[in-house]
Amino acid sequence: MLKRKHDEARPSYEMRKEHIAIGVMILLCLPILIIYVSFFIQAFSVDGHFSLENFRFLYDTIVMGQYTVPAMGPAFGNTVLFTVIVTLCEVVVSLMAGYALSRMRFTGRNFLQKMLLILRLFPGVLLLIGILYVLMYVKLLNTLAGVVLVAIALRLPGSTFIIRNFFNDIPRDIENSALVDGCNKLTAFFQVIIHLVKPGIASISMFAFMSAWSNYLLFNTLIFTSKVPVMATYLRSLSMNDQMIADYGVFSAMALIYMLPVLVFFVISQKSLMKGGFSGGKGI
Amino acid sequence: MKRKNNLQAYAFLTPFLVLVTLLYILPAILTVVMAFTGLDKTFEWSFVGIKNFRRVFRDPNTPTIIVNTLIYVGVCITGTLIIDLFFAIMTTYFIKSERSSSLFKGILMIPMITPAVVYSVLWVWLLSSTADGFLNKLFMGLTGADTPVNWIAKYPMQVVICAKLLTSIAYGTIIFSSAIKSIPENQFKAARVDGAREWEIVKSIILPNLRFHVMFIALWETLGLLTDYVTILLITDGGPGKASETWALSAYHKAFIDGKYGYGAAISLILILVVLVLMIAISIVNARMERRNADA
Amino acid sequence: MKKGSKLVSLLLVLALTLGICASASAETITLKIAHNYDFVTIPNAVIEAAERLNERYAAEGKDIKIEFETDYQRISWTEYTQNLIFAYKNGDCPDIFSVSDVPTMAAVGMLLDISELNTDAFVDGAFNAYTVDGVTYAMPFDLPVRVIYYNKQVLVNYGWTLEEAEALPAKVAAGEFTWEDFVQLCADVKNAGACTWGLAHRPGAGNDFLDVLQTLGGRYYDENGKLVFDEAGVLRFFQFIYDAANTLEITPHDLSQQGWPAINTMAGDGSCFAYYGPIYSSTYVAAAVEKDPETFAKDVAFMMFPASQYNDKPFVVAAPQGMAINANTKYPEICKDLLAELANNSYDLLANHASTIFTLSSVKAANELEAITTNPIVANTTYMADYAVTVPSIDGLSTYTSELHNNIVQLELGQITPEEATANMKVQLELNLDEDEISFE
Repeated sequence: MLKRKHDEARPSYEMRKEHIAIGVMILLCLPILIIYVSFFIQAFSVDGHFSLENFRFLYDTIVMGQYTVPAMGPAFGNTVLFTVIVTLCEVVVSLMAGYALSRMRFTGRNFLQKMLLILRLFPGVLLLIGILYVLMYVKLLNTLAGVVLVAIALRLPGSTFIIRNFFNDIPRDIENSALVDGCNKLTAFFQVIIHLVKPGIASISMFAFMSAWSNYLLFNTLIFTSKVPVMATYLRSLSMNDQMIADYGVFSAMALIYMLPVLVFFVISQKSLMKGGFSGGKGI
Repeated sequence: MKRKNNLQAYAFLTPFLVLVTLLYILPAILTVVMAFTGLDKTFEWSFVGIKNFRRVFRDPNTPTIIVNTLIYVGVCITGTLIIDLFFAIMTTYFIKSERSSSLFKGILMIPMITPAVVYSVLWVWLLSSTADGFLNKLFMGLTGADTPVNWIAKYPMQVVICAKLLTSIAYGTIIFSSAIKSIPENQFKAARVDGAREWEIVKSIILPNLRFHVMFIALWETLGLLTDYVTILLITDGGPGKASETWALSAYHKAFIDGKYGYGAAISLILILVVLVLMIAISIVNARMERRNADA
Repeated sequence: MKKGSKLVSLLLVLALTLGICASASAETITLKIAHNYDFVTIPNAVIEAAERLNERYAAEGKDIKIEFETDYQRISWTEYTQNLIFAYKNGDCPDIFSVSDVPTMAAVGMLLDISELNTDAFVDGAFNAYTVDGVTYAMPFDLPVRVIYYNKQVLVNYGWTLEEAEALPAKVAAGEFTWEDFVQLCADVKNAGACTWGLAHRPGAGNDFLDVLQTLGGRYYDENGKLVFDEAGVLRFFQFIYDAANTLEITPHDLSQQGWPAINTMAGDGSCFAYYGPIYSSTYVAAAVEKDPETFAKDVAFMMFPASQYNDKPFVVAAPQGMAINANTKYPEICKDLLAELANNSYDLLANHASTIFTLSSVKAANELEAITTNPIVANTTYMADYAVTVPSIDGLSTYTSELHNNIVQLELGQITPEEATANMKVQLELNLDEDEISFE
């Protein structure tokens, strides 16, 4: 209501400017939309006719040239499993660490705060060679569990940093009143504080979800067998630079399935994504 | 009491500390050590002193790779900042309607949320060298040229820069946009009363207010561009030849493709040192920004 | 109390183990088998041989039943090799696996010594690439040669008779048709408009280029199987590559960026006159133009690398594909039995594999079998066996070919000169290989 009033109050020259700006933005955004739409529309056409034939990989193995592509099921399942575990663990671990760093007094707190600042910015990708060695040593190379751990660890400093800042922004009084009411620290943590950092949790879980779902590099470098297919490697194996095996129709159909959850998630969370807590979204 | 506090705090911190130590600190130490070994495909340790570093500096490809990296980072940063500022001003200052503004920002975010394996194929498809490639059809239709252009082979650096630029627009746009929103409305009003033109408002009000945000984004994106190589890896793989090879990608190639892990670690280590300097810069800018926000 | 429960659980475990042992009539052994790329007839031959071996074991009264867990992939061979090495270090390496870089794997110590295999059953030289310091580490499953493909229809369009076109391989073998003649022919047919391009090659790094290098008199290894950088030879090779793309214009500038499907189609449909690569690539080439082997063989024929000004004999290089055994496998004897079964009794499986991918077999007896003698593509190329050269296992060869290819790409795009390419290559090899791995001449 208020907004509309504000709109009505705006002078007409300003509205005109807004219309021009909208026109310019449409012109600039249109190419992106056109490219995406014309790419994905191929999924529904075979030899120029509408067909769902390209989606056969959903339930059946398909033969392309000399290569039989297994059905997508296992890859999709693994990706879902991976994404869910990574997202959950990342949220829980960073909540615990963020809470401790923000609220508790303990020896080494200062040191850890400083370390968090450094690690949050440090790009973990540069350490992949070392990570490979560590995983090999603990016999977790080549397993989904190993990649899960690495995926969580690499994003952990960033998410912990965000969560800690959210905790820092909560006035002490709220927690204190909970304590006075007879809660101990743990119940205070679960009952009161969690509610207050909900936006923070939303923001890190969003980024954890998106990065886990589309992660390619970690699987490419840390998994060697075809036993643990995920969507990223499944699609990649069909589109290696020198041997695009799948035709674009099949590939765009696969890509569409791959992107669907991201798009849904994106539409749901777009508002909060834009509002803030954005700084956790970088890194792998 | 203190002991109990410690116990409780570290109980909360244990998962964090274990993961970070095992997969951050330890690999970091290993990378430093590996840089001084001849660790190769056979994965046997053998210390070779500073041989790897000597190799890096003697390699005639090194200057090319440095120049590529500088161009890639430089052009991307400049491009990102200009485009981000433009879009942020358009969608926040000029377009006041919340709905259309977030629609546009939503569209700009699509490339960012597209998984890399799909995004790269999208570009390969777009720039396909055959006559029925998307861009070639457009190009041949518009210019009347009769031979298709192999865009990726001919302009590898331009292609990867464009591809990367498109994915990084959304982030800066949104940060700048929320910064513009937080500029008090009366500053604009005062300027308009003085009869300032839009360009003057942008120059004298918006840009100064965004000073620290711009610096932060510039440094943050630089960090990302220096270290993230997935886009290049998937579109040109550094080629043709070394035409689009960047520093971080060359570390990946040396280690994971050629199997020269020690050499790759040495290249990484050099980059890590550069990154550390940048991180210090970011921390300073960040601290200033926070102080400024606190003041406001 | 505690002790009691421990005892109970121990008994339980014992009972369970005994139960499992008693319930199975034969001991089931599960072997992990790994393979890369399309030619799954290689590991499948092992799996089928195991079934026969099972029967043999049963006949001998041995209570063993072999089963397999397969892991077939489709990644680059360097990646595949590295993955196996990591898996070996990680303790979950497959028991039997396809190999490409035997020297590296042998250096890791992950390959079982299979020297006791009956090598007499195999074609001479078949084991060369798989022998490091006198020890045999892998068994060749086939013996494909690398050849020049050429399109007979293009020659007919150019004005030759079909008989003349078909006689070309014989003229090459007799030394009457040289490399220089061949290059000239590539240019002539292209200029006459009989095809779009004259000569194509693989898009990525690979050993195919070494054959042209050798044709031009360039050496890349010495008697001891050590890498050699033959500067004059490499310069001649680079000059040829440069000229082919930029002066003669028989090869597209951007061939390396075009990718396999485009190149295979080009080689298959006659839009390119000639192509060089392993003879088994014809499976891909034929598939790219959707032809069966018979129709494909009507259009495309194969010849050896002709003699040249710098190399007086025509030749082909025979490079086997094969499998090796994990040095740490729990069942070394059974794995060796499997390979011996293939080599001595079940070589028909190897013949089937070889015939599927249009090559000769590595086992002498297999080459006598109908599967090979009646194969439309293989039958015409059996004479090449007399000209075949086998290359020893060369340490660092993958570095050499990958540097070679880096320069080929830039030469074809016209970005560097042959002299620059030779200098680049030399510096890179000096940087990336140790002194004991390469000598410069």
